[in-house]
Amino acid sequence: MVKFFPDQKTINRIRSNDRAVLGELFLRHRKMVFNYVITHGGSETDAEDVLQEAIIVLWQKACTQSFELTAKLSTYVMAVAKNKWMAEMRKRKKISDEELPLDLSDGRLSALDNVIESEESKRVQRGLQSLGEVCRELLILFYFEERSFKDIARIMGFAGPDVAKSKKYQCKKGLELALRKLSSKKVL
Amino acid sequence: MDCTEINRSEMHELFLLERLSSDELAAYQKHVATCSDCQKRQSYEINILAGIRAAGKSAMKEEIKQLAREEQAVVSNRRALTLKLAAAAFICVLAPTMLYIYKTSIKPLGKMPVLAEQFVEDDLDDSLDDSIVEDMPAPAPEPAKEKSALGGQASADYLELRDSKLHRTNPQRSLQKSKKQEAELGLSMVEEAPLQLEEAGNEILEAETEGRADRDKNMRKETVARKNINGDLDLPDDALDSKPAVEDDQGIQTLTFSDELKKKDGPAGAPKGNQPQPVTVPPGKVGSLASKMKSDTVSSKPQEAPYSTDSTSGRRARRPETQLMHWRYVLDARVVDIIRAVSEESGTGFPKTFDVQILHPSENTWQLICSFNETMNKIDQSTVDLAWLDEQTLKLTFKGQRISYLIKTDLARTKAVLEKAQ
Repeated sequence: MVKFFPDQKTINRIRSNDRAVLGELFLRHRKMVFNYVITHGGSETDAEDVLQEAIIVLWQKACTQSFELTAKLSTYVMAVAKNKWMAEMRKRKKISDEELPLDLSDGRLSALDNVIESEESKRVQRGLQSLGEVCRELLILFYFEERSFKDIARIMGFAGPDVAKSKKYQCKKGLELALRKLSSKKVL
Repeated sequence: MDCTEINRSEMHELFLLERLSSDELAAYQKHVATCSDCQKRQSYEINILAGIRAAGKSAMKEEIKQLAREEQAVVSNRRALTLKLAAAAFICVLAPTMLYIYKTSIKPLGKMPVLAEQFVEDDLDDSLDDSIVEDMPAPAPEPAKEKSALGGQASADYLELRDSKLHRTNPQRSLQKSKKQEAELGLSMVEEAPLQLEEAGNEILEAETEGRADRDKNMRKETVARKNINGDLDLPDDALDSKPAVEDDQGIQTLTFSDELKKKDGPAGAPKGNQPQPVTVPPGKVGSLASKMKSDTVSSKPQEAPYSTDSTSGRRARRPETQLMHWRYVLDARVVDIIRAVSEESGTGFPKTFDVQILHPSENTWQLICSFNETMNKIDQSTVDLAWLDEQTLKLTFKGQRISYLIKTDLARTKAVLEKAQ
């Protein structure tokens, strides 16, 4: 049994970067989300992926100071998971219906654009791997978790927000340099 | 706003993170809409941001999996620990409790003598009631030649019993008189008992002397109150008189009753004449003191005091002080055995409470002999008024089970037969 913890306490733990909450949230909502996804045409793998993304959304939102929990945490997680799964279902249905059209007339991103974006994304991830552990974590905290420099300085033990901001700038420049190197190797 | 200011202020990044103010956002969008270099830079920033977010999402998913596994392991360990604690609690608390209940609910036959001894003790206490002794009718003086040898002996028994009751505070004296009575009777019981028996009995009696006075007082009060409530229990004290156990050729202990009882029972079921009617007890019967004496005498331990320590229960047995006690001992031990046999036969448990009643042959009414509780440690004794349906049959009714039983003794005095009457 997962130990009982109040919802607001969970939000506070997320804001204090208590990573153990991730596992607890997964176990706490696993049965509920899995039942929904599986009864709506998904598999256990789909359900696991949906729940993970719902938890990530909660994590990202909770990291922002403007986030305020107005309902039960389980209700919030379940609502996000439902939206995620419905979007995934629409995406799958759309791909099966359109069969990779190359037309850009509707203004939306085509399948080719998705492939290109995926390639660019993988290239950036490879560039991140070439960076050091500190820079990789700092960039993820800033761009992915969208934490403030104050939080980043507290989490990573910097002297202050300005130090964190300066460090982030240096790490981003290092990433751009790594991406350029990767591009030159690819051209060669 | 120009390209230099936008790049220096990292406005592309702030735009993508939605951290621009409304004024900054309007100026930024106005410039980017007309600047191709800024559009390329914005697209480049979008790719970097998407890549970092994808990497962060992938890393966090892996982290969630790992943490969930660890949390699951913790939960499993906690559950296992809870089960272990529950098992330990069961072993430490529930198992001994169940064992205790099992031991208290099922008593081996080997403990029956102890229970019967308790009954004897209560009987002895009850017999020391002054009020009862005072109300006892004195034996009518009869010419010696008109009394049979046994009838005269019954009167002597009565006098000795009353004398022992009046001198209850001196059990040593009562014991000496009991010895004298036994010697006068010339019966074999005491003579056969080893000298160690008397010594053991004296030691026990001395130890009980101090506590007996208070207990006698309480028992007298209870007895008088009970007799007042149960007005139908107006029984003669001489009904308690009996002859000691004697042995026949087959080793069967035979107990006899006084003539006074048979006279009161009347012609309906009472034996005719002054001949004592025997109750035979099988040898080795659990609870039978006479049988125990017989078995101990026959066994290879003739010098061992049979009343000193009960080998099965480990408790010290008490030596009967009078033949009256001896007789009651045998009767009640047999009743316990009957109840146990019936409960085992019927598959039901040993009754929690039950009364033993005897049908009075002349008055045709059931009279209470004694009441037993669940553990048999305390026997609530009321009175004794032995009456027989006929010369051989004693009928018992257990109120809890509503079943009557007949105890029959055959004329050959060889054994007792238990039959289910209804």
